[in-house]
Amino acid sequence: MHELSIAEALIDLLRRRAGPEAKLVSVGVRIGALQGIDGQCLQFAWQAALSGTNWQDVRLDLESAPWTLHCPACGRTWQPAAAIADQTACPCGPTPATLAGGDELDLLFYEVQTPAASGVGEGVYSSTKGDGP
Amino acid sequence: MKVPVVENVLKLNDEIARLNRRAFQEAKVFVVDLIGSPGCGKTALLEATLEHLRGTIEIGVLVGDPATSRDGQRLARRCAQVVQINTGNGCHLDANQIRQAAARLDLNRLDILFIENVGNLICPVSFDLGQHVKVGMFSVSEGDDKAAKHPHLLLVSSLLLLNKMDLLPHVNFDLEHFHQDVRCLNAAVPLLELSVKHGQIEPWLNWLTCQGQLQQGTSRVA
Ligand SMILES: Nc1nc2c(ncn2[C@@H]2O[C@H](COP(=O)(O)OP(=O)(O)O)[C@@H](O)[C@H]2O)c(=O)[nH]1
Ligand SMILES: [Mg+2]
Ligand SMILES: [Zn+2]
Repeated sequence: MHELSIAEALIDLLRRRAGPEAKLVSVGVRIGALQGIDGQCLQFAWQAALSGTNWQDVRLDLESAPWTLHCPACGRTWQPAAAIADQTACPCGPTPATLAGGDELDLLFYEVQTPAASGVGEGVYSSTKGDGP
Repeated sequence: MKVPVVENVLKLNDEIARLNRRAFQEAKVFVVDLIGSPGCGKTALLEATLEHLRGTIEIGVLVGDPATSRDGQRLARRCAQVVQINTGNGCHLDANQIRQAAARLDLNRLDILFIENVGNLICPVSFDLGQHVKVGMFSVSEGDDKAAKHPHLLLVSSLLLLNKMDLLPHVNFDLEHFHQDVRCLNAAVPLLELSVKHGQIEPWLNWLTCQGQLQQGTSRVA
């Protein structure tokens, strides 16, 4: 599946970026509307790919980016309603619009557990050796 | 603690694609990634192309399918350098599969390398393989709305093919509507109408010849 290979590529990227042992909490990804990626499918693939690993509880936060067009002639920027071809011409004239968004597939951030932040309240659970100030 | 990144998820794929591209350029081989739905005639087009260009230029083919080596066998009858790639559950080819498969070819002897992607109009679009051009292929029996429904393919294609023109009288396909949709999404892309079954592929052969020459800056592609 497409989504599975995207999930695997994402995990690969995180292993290299954050390190395979990183205590990840969540991961943020932006998906452009043109990528043809289904959010639910990707969530499912993410869980399937990570189940039984040290990252199996890591949350995947998905953000969608709309298909966005820009008219170089008049500077107008707009978002065609759905991914359909009938709103791609600018009323100002025949100049073809250029793509200004919608093809993204980006890792935006990853969140790791912060040992120091657990000092108050939850400290009881997470204070381990060497964690103190 | 949040660590901001902003990095393309397919960065690894793109890095390998860059290596592929360099290898293709060094070997002076023009690489075409052919993308279209299952059954639109990709293998048939490559068979006919091999037939027409036999003896004039050297062609290699990497062909991706979820299973079987049937297309590979079809093509191997007309071409010495064919590698079948089975993707299993994979719905597209990625740069690493191309890298491994291309290693089994003698690139230096090739003028053109065709990559027949897995039949699918969505996923193959996102994966750079190191090709020079992506070519989007449709056929009239799929319905005239397929270009409009796959804007990403339209946007990345350097050429569009519309096959099975011989079936036009028998199917509900509004040619003008199809052209309009294409123009809306990509005003510049050439659109060639073919009937591979009846050997009507001249516009495609001409395009291929021109592109090969432009790309290589030589007239190695006769
Ligand atoms: N009528 C008609 N049939 C075609 C044409 N081109 C291919 N076909 C048929 O379409 C079917 C699928 O072709 P194939 O090359 O296997 O498609 P692929 O899945 O895209 O590789 C085969 O039965 C071909 O004979 C054409 O121009 N006209
Ligand atoms: Mg085929
Ligand atoms: Zn305008």
